[in-house]
Amino acid sequence: MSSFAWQPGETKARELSKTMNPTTQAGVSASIGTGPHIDVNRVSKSFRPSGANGRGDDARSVVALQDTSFEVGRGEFVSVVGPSGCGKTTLLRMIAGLSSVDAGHIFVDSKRISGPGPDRAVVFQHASLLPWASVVDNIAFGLRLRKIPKSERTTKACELAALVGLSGFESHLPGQLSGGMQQRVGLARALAVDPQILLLDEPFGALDEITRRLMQDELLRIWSGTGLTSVLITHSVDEAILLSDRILVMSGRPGRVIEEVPVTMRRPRERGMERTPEFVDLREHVWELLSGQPAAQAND
Amino acid sequence: MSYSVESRHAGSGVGRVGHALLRVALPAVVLVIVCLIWNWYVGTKHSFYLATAGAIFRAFISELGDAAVWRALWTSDISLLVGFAIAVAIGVPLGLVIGRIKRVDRLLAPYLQIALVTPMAVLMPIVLVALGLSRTAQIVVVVLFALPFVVVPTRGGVVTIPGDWLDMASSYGARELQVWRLVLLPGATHAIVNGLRLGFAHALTGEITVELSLIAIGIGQLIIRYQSHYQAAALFAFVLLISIQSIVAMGLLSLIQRKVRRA
Amino acid sequence: MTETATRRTTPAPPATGGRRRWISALGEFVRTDVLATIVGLVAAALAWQLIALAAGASWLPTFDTIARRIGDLLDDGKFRSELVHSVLSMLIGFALAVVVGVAVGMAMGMSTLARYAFSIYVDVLLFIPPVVVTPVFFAIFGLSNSAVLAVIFIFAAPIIAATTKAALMNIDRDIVDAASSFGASRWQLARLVVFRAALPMIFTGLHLGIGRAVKGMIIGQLIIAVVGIGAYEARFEQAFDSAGLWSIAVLVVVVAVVFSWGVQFADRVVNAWAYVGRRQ
Repeated sequence: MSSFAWQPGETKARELSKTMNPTTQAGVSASIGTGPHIDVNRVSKSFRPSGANGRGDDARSVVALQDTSFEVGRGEFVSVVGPSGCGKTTLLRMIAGLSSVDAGHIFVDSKRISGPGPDRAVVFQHASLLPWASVVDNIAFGLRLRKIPKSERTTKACELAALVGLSGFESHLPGQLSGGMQQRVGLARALAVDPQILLLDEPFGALDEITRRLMQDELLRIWSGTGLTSVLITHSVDEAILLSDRILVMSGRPGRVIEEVPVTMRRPRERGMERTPEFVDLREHVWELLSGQPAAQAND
Repeated sequence: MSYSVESRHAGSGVGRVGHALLRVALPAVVLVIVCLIWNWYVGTKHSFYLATAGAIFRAFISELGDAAVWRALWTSDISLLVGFAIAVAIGVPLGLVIGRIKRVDRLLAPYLQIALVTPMAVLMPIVLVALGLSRTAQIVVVVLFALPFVVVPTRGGVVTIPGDWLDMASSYGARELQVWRLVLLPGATHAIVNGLRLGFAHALTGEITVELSLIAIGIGQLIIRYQSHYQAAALFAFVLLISIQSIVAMGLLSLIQRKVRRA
Repeated sequence: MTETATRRTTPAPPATGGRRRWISALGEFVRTDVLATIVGLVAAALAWQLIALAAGASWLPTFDTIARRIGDLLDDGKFRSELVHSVLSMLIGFALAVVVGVAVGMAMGMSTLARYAFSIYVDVLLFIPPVVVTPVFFAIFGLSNSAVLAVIFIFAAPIIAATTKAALMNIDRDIVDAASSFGASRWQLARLVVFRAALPMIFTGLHLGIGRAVKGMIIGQLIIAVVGIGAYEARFEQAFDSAGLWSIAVLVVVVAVVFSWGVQFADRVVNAWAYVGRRQ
């Protein structure tokens, strides 16, 4: 069904990494010298659900995040796990600049953020590709917004298509691709704009188990070639352990970080690691933290 | 504003009361502006066929108390109601049959498509030639206008009933009449009511069109009188009155439709 | 019956390239809808002939009589020019309705203020039969072509505005979010994403609008009966010329169907992406 011809892509990844961010040692601590890449500082966010039904204003106000703080170092891969409705997605959207912060600040490279920026790119859960545009046009979308000339952006988009294993599908429409393939396009689109930070909002949540595992392998491969600072939101503890350097475990409403769990398994990661005692212990630990949490209320 | 990145999660900035006020105030402002422009235009034209907004309003008030006006409306309404009733009596059973029997459906599909797109107004002179300047001719025109829009939604209502329901009914040994009573009619009710509403809207169009163009028995006659007497304000006011009658009638039907939907 | 070509929402076999997409979308449309309609019309002509011969009524001439009459009319230069004139009026009125309707619809879809201000009037215009406004336009424009244009406009514009507004309010917000996360300005969003996403439904509105525009043309010309083929109608009616009246009716049907096809053609060219692949 989907194409997994990524052997040629392997080489592409290495070539591309030269034009993108220099590969860094994935480290647990904040990066060398310049302070954390992302600094989330005592952030809070509340929602008043829209579609008013005439009742009192704050009675139905929902506190999504309360006094949340953490840091992400340069080149680090961090996962955020937590029960439904704990504010994970809200957090990501705020780092992306798609939602505003009610209290506290978010700094990227010591600068306060105030909206989407060229340094951050998002991969969405539902790929959200433009349905009328081909794979290549979708990948090149961010470049088009920056008025990069067509020939240049098409070349780059084709390279990225190869990187994510979609060679031969350049002219296809999203409607002609499977879910997994659409997610690859979404990933390629995010990589196309040479971001400093990659934000992934449950990118594999809508996929079936088999595709999901293959996509995790893909992400590992691609990430190891680029070493981008990454924040991944996921429901899957196993996925978090497999992919990241550190896991932030969040609580239910109001959302807070309960604990930061470092993952010190060696890189590059492999599937076999899922059976190691270290992996099993981590999984147990994270589940313990999660199962102490109440689930979200109905109005998510 | 609708497409700011926050729109999904935005609280109401202006406040609910503010929005309710705007919902009333803004259309009112538009109305006032339109009236001002209209009056200015009338002022520049000096035509016997035009009247100021104020004059129209006054004529409207006086027409509300004029028995001749209501008689004219009622005369036309009779043709409308009779024509609509006939269209429903023919159209609903026809739609049900077309929806139920696939062969008939495939046979008649292109004609229904054409009937929806063709202006029935072209057939009006033919009806006139066949039936003369009579109320019967009027009623036939109303039926022609309304019929496609009763048949097609009714057919749609039957056709979109899930095959599973029918399979279930036949697996319990239901006979044709029972299938109709227990599955098809209840399932198609919403679509049929929608067809009634659409059909009425077009019946209305048919009635007014034939009155204004060919067979002036009720409102058409009154309009001719206003026109030939250069009673511009009365004419406009009468048009307003007919419009309001239409709005009220359609509004009632929409209300009924919503009640049915909730049932 | 009208749902022959479904718009794709699920994966399909591999694609043809970009340019060939609209060609294949058009091809499918011709093969299904167009052919079916033509076959239907031919069958109707045959059925007509039989019924007319059987009934023998003066107001129902046989089809070959009508066909010959159509031929005569089309030979007549004056009639031809009136026909062309009517068709052109309709297109101009429709074009006006499209420009204004889409503009107002977009305003209502994108701005809450515009929606509050205008939607009640658009809804009212949708509720009332547009024909009531005809005496008003007659009074303003007199016995002229402009009056008919105004009638065509008022028939088509409200539905186009309402559908456009719905189209804009119904687009997938996720796509807009994704685009803005890449730093699209409001103008870029509107131009590259919002408008394009709304186009399929806007075209549905145009399809509805063209049907109404044809109705507006006929009704307008019947009521304001000195111009175009409406004038011919009036003359034939007075002369009890059934064959002539039917001829005009047939020609109008042909015009209506052709224009409906025109809009659907345009839809499949512009929005080919929504029609790609085999229907379910």
